[in-house]
Amino acid sequence: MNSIPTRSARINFNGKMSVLNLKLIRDLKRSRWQYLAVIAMIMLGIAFYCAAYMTYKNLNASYDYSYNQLHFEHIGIALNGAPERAVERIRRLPGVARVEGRWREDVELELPNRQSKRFIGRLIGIPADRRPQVNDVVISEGRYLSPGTEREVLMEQSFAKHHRLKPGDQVIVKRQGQTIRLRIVGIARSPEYIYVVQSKQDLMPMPDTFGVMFVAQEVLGSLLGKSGLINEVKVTAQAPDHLMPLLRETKRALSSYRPEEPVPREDQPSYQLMQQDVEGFRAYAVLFPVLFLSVSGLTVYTLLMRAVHLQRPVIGVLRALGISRRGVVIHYLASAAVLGAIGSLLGIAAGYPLGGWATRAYLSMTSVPYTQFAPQGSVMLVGVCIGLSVCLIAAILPARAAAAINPAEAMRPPKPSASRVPALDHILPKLSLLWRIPIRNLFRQPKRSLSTLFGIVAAMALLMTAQGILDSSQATLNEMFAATFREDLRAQFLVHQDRHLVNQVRSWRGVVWAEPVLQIPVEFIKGNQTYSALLTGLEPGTRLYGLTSDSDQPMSVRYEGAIFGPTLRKRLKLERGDQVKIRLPKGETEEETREKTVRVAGFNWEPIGTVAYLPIDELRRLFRNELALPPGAVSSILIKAAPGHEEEIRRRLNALPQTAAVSSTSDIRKMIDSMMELSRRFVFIMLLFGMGLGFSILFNMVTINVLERSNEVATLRTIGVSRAQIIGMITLENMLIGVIGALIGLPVGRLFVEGFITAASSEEQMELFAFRVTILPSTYALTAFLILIVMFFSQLPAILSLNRMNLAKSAKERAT
Amino acid sequence: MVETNTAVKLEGVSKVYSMGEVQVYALRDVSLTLTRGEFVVILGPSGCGKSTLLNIVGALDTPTSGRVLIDGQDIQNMNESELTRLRRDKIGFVFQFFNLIPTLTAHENVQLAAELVARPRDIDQVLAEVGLRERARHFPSELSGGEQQRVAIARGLVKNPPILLCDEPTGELDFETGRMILALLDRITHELNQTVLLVTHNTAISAIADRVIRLRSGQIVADEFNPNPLSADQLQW
Ligand SMILES: Nc1ncnc2c1ncn2[C@@H]1O[C@H](COP(=O)(O)OP(=O)(O)OP(=O)(O)O)[C@@H](O)[C@H]1O
Ligand SMILES: [Mg+2]
Repeated sequence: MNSIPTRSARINFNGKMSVLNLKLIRDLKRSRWQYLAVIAMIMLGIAFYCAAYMTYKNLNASYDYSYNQLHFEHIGIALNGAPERAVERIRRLPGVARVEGRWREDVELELPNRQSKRFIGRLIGIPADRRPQVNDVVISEGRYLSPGTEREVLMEQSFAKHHRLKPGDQVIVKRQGQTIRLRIVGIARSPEYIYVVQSKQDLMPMPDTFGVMFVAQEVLGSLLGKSGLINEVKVTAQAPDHLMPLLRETKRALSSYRPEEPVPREDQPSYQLMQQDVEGFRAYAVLFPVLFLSVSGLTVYTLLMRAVHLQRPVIGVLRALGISRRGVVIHYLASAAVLGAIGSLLGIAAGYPLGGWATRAYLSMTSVPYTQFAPQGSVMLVGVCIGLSVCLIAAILPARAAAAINPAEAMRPPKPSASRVPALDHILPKLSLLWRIPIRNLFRQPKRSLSTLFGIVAAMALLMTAQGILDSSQATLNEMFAATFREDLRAQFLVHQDRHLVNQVRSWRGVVWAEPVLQIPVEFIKGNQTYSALLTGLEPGTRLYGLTSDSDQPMSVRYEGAIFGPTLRKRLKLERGDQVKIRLPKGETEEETREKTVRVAGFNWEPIGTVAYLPIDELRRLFRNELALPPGAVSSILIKAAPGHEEEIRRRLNALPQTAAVSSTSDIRKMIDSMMELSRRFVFIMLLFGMGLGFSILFNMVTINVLERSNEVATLRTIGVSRAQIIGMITLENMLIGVIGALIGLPVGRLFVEGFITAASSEEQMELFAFRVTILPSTYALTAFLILIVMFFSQLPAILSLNRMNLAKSAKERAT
Repeated sequence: MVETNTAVKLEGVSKVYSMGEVQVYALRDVSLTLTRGEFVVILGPSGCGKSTLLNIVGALDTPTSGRVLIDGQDIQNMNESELTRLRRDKIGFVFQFFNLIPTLTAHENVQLAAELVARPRDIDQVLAEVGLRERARHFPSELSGGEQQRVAIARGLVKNPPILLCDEPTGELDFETGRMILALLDRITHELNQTVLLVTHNTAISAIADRVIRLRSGQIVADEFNPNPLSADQLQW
């Protein structure tokens, strides 16, 4: 605090002003608790801003750096199979920077130490004698593949981590009855699989069941009998911002190999998820500080407004003594600047380590190849500027109000402030006057009560926003599991099976129920909109795959048409009764497929995925010819297990030769929960910030409320009102306003949660994840309870100081 | 017994305010005994320690040294709740600056004090006595300075306290109203056997007192009994 006098002295322009500075310092000292609370508020806002924005910048920097260093694809094209030299056609295209062709195939995967479990493995061919030109990998353990014909493999990190695989371990790949043993020589991180998802249709990362492996292209070719062939081409462009022409060119250049639609980087699944995550993070990084700082600003404003009001006589005297209006304005702005500067400097000091922690915590959850961490000086600089400007802006009106004070009026002995009997008073039963005073006080100075109410509502909004986001995401997940994933186990097959397998499984011991599902990836077309999604066939009257309507009613598949999920509905602008064209993705079938048509029979609600539903036999009929489906085709089986039998059934499913992978709902749930852990921690921190901020606001408001009344309290004490009665009165007054505030705050808090979720979910995100705003009753109750508790404790210091008050001294002062 | 007739007894009371290096003696070795039913006027120039003395007698303040006995009880030995009870039951205060509760009407300000004690006087009657029957429903902000002062007086009277302490109770009043108030105080001392301690600079008022104490620079310079006090309506100033 020692530096303040000299500093602000320099701001001033003549000797007369130095007394005013003395006053500034004395004011600051006298109301140090309130000013400390303001500093704390600015500090919290700035700390949060710095931490969040720094993390956002570091995340972006890490991704950018990784994508650049490893030459992450700008375009990916899948082919039906082409000779390796087809790559040359692309290399010659203008605008192409780098090209790599490779074979990619999904296989059944087993781990030697966990023979009972099946996984889906993805083998990707990469050159062994050099690094890939496109989509290079980072080896985090072990080494890169050696040239030659060794059966070596690089295991992608997420799967390796999840199953504790180390270089030297073996994996078993099964393909068409053939068993191939591969040795892990290194653990790799790939820009293609920062989020390890199978395809655009299946955007849930499943490190439990899906593993990506990199094998020498030569070795892969000879193992699969595809030597010299590629089915994927990956391209980086010289001008990534103008991909459209290149997308067309690459497709044309490869047209003789029946290419699928080229996929630009924006649509690559891992990239998409990354974008969605980072953008979501940015929303937090921007919206929460905005929320915090506007609340801080408004509180600083209220505080200074009251200070001006309390200091009216003093300001009057100062003005009468000849201090200019400008001097008064500068005086108040200087106070605000001091608070803003201290608050924001402390804020960046706290935000820096927090940002570091958040960056590391966040990145450790993904498999980002390279981590970039920089102090982000610009963020800190902006932080200080924001902190200062929030305070200065908040101080403008109070400063002007102070300058506008008429000295003659301000110095006249104060009249007791006006009062009237509120209507409430007549309604209430004949309470003792001691209890009526607090009620009247609420109405006596409506401005003051309103500012306190504002504080309470703001504090509640802060608390509820954080908690409401958690509630909503938790509820969305719960809903998804309760409504959709009713099965305990799901066995997936790479090759379509026949329905008698379902009957067989049903007869197993411990199986309560088993049901077939047929899923076919398709493209839906309506007008000029195309969207790839999964067409899912369910048994009419399915017990294990729950469909719910928009209004939470259970639904079932219908023969008059397909039921579409929210994402498809929005993307394709579907209406009930519309006709939607369906096309099989190229490469799935030998012949050019005929387009099918399906009617829109209804819409269901589900939070994740882009899915449409048909009765299973209808789906089989639809693609019988194109996909050569057996009449009872099944792509997975859903199983409900009797308690205690899940493990046994899982073993038996894994033992079936056809099984590609078995996933259990509880495992998925556990995995999602662990993925949510980080966001839970973030929200928890926000909750702490919200609480800190809420406490600061309430502390300020309540302290001022109580202290402003010290003369009145002294009078009451001198005529014999006891301390306990005084505490009771003040508590009653605060609790009354607390309850009113809570009643307003709860719905406002809900609005905040809704606004926040809408603002935080971009178009893109809504598409992938349909979020429903949910606030648990316990959250409402807890918030209201917390607010009242905080209010109760906020008033204690002020009450204690009242009790220590020198009655003789107050008795000698004029009442106000 | 003389003792039972003693309302307040001060023994060697000093009050010192330390202002850093400087020590201000607001009261210096004041000893004083007030008897029941006595109307005592304290006279003295501004800053001589009158309000300080009143605050100490009213148990709002504690002396730096010396003993204060109110109704025979040493306030030094009292805890906060005992002091509160003392202030509530034994003392009526009329402040130099009124200190009314702004959210309560004139009537309610008086009622508030009445609610605190077991046997208060009739509120309406007290208000009528100070000439405020017509203003009972007004808030302090709607009253003149003199009217506010009379509400403060009514608030002190209504508790029917054994000891009534008045700090310049007629400072804001015109001659006629002031005389009416003094007559009221005069009457309660003699009819209800209450002790009134009244602070003023107005020497004329001392003519109606039973006893006049002159204070200068925190010390009692004179303490005289008035053998024939005038009645209030004989007063002139
Ligand atoms: N809190 C305090 N700190 C320091 N000095 C004080 C304090 N209160 C009173 N004094 C000093 O004690 C002395 C007595 O003050 P007091 O208020 O009793 O005077 P008074 O006789 O009532 O004057 P007036 O007639 O002007 O009301 C004064 O000199 C005053 O400056
Ligand atoms: Mg005085």
